[in-house]
Amino acid sequence: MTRQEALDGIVQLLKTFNTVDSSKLEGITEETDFIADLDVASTDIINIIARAESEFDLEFDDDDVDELGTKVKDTIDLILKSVHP
Amino acid sequence: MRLSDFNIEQVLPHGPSKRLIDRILWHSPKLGSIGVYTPTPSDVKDHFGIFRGADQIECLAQASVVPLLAYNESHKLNLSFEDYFKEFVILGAGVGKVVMHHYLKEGEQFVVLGKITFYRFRQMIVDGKIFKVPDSIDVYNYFSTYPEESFKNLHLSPEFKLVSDFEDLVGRALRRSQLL
Repeated sequence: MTRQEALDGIVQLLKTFNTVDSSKLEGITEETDFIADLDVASTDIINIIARAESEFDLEFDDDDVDELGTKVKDTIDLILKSVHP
Repeated sequence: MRLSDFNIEQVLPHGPSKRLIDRILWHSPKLGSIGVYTPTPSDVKDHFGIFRGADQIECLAQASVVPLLAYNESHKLNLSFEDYFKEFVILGAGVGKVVMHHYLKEGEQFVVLGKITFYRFRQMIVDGKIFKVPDSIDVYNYFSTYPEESFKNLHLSPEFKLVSDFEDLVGRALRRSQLL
């Protein structure tokens, strides 16, 4: 899986969250911050990560999620780490 | 063993002045838990003899997300409660809707039901209800045979009086090393 494929997957996943403003997803990049740019509640980030785990058919480590940053690139790193440990 | 088999001091690190649950009465690891508490004079001091709404939210946390996360996570990590709480602290991260239907006075025993709606990556979300216990009911006896099907609907017999409703109380376990 490439970083672009992971990013595309995250965007598709975010489109299914009714708490995320879909108009903000058009210019999403790796530097986009879930909280600052997409107005995602910090407690909802865990929901997004749980959904990503399911959508990508991966298993994330609890400690890795504990240390996860709030930018999209952090989630991409987590996905790729799980795909290519 | 279930949470209801432990003394409250073992499953709640709070205390004693900030502990707002006397006992876990009922527990199902995947569904949730039920706690019981009776407000003391110090709980209602300077507040018109009434138990505070903010403390009701704390009660729900202490009856559900704190012991439930501790139970599930300590089992996962093969730690005792004592060792788990040395390494982790469980903090409230948010609450959605709260509706107070009635009030509670000093000495009025109540039960707190917390039903798990989400649990992943050390974060748990519960919906809950608080009911005042009627004098005619011994809660320890009542909940010894309480069925899971009733819990799924947060249903109790009609003698219990609904005090408050909660949606989306969020608790999160953090390593103490993550705290500033």
